[in-house]
Amino acid sequence: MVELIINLSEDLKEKMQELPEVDWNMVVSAFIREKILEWARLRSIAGRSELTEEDALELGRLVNKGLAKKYKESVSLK
Amino acid sequence: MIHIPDANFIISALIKRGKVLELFEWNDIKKELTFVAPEYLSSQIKQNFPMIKAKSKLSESELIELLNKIELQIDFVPLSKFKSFIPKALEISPPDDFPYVALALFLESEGHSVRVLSNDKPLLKSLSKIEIKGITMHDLLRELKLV
Repeated sequence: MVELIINLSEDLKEKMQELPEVDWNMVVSAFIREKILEWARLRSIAGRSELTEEDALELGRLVNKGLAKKYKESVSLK
Repeated sequence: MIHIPDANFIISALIKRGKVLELFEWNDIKKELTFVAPEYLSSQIKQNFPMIKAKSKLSESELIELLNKIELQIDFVPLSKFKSFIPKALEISPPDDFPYVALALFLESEGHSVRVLSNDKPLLKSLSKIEIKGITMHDLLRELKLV
């Protein structure tokens, strides 16, 4: 086990003290674990992607074109 | 400093071992960067899902999962807030990029320092001519000392 020291605002500290039954050690530990697993999953999904930088440029320009059209319609500047 | 990611930048987060996804992961923990984007950008990306799916070979649910996580870090500003900057943006901006320019002009008028975040170098070059700051992902990573 390692010890983690975190800085909290006074406001947050007060709110935590209003919930003395909560095991904050468990809460923080679960939060960190969840974050790590979540991003590992997202990296794993992206790791299977075949999208290239060129594709991203092409798709980005396509989206920008659609966005510009949507804005022109929204502000009646067709 | 507020960063306005363009469509290219957000879509780049879907590239295998891409640095953009790493940047969003880093920022999810550090909360150092503020991302702001024009309303409808997310829906326009989703409208192009068939092509993104075809090129990435990822499923729609995987794309949604990735993009939703990234978009949690982006504050989408309603058009009504910066509508008055659209005419000027239309005058000075490259034709398809005026929503980003209008948003940048609005945020600057509110006293914020703003940069458009894109890997589209021709776009960044055009923006520099109209005094809108822009930065590529690589330069941002260098600035943050992440590469």
